[in-house]
Amino acid sequence: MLDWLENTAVAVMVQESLWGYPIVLSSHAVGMAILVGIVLMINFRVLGLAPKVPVSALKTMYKVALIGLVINVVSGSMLFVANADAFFESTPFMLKIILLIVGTTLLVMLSRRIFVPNDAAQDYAPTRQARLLALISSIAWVGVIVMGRLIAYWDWKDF
Amino acid sequence: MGGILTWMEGSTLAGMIVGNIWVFPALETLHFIGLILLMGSLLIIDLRFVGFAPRIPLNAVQGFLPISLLGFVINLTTGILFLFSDPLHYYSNLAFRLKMLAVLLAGLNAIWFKVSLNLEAASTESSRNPRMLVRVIAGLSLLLWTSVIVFGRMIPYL
Repeated sequence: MLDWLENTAVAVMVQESLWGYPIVLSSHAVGMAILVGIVLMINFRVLGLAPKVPVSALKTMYKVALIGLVINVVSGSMLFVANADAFFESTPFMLKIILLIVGTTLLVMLSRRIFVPNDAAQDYAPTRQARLLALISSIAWVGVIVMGRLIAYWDWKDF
Repeated sequence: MGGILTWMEGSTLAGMIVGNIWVFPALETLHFIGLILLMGSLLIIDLRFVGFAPRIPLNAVQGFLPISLLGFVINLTTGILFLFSDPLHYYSNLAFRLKMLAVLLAGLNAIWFKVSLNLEAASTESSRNPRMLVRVIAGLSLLLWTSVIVFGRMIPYL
C-alpha cells in the first residue's frame, strides 16, 4: 500500500520535479498560516481579545480558515504520498494527525456554539463552555505545529 | 559586510545555537508560531479592510493588532538568531534576500496603511465600508506577507 502510494503519479511529481517539492511545501506553510492563524484569532476573541468585535461576525473568517484546511489536507497528502513509509513510521507525524483530528473536532464544536444567528448575548459574552473549547483547541493547534516541525528531526530516516 | 558576517559566525551566540541539536528546531517552531500569530491577526484585520465581514466595526477589528506586533517581535528575534547560526549562507541566499525585500515592502505598506487610516479618520466618521485606496493597501499587505512566507520556505531550495 505505502509502496504503491509512493509510485503514484502525484508522488513521483512531488519527488522528482525540481520545483514540485518546494511549491507543495510553500502551499502547506501558507495554508497553515491561514488555518491555524485564523483559528487562534477566533479562539483568542472567545477568550476575551478584541472585545468590541461581535463573535458571530467572525463566521466569514471561519470559512476562510476552512479554505486553509482544504489547502493543507491536499498539500499534506501530496507530501505524505511522496514519502509514505517514512511518514508512516514517524512518531511526531502520528501525533500531529491525532492532534489535527482533535483540533478540527473542537473547532467545529466551537463554531456550532458561537456562530448562532440572532444570539446577541453570545456576541459579547461567550459562555464558559465556549471559552474552555477555545482554550483546549488553541493548545491542540499549537501541538499540531510543534509536531509538524519535529517530523524533520525525530528519527527521520529519509532526509 | 564580510567582517560583520565573520564576526557573527564566530560569536558566542552562534556557538550556542549550533552547539545544541535542539536549539535550532526549537527556534524554528517558535518562528512558525510567530508567523501564525502575525499572519492570523493580519488576515482578520486586512480581510475586514478589503471588505469582508462588514458586521465587524473597523475600529473594533484593530483589537487584533497587538497580536500582529507580538508575532513580528517573536519572528524578528528568532530570525536574527537564525542569521547568527549561518550568516554567510543567509547573506548569499537569493530567497532570503527576496524575503527581506518583501518584509521591507510590507513594513512600508503598513506605514502607508496607518497614514491613510489617520487621514480617513480625520475627514470622515468611522465608516462601515473603507474607501478603495484602503482596500487596495489591505489586499497588498496580505499579498506581501504571503510572499514573505513563500520566500522563507524557499530558502533551503534557492
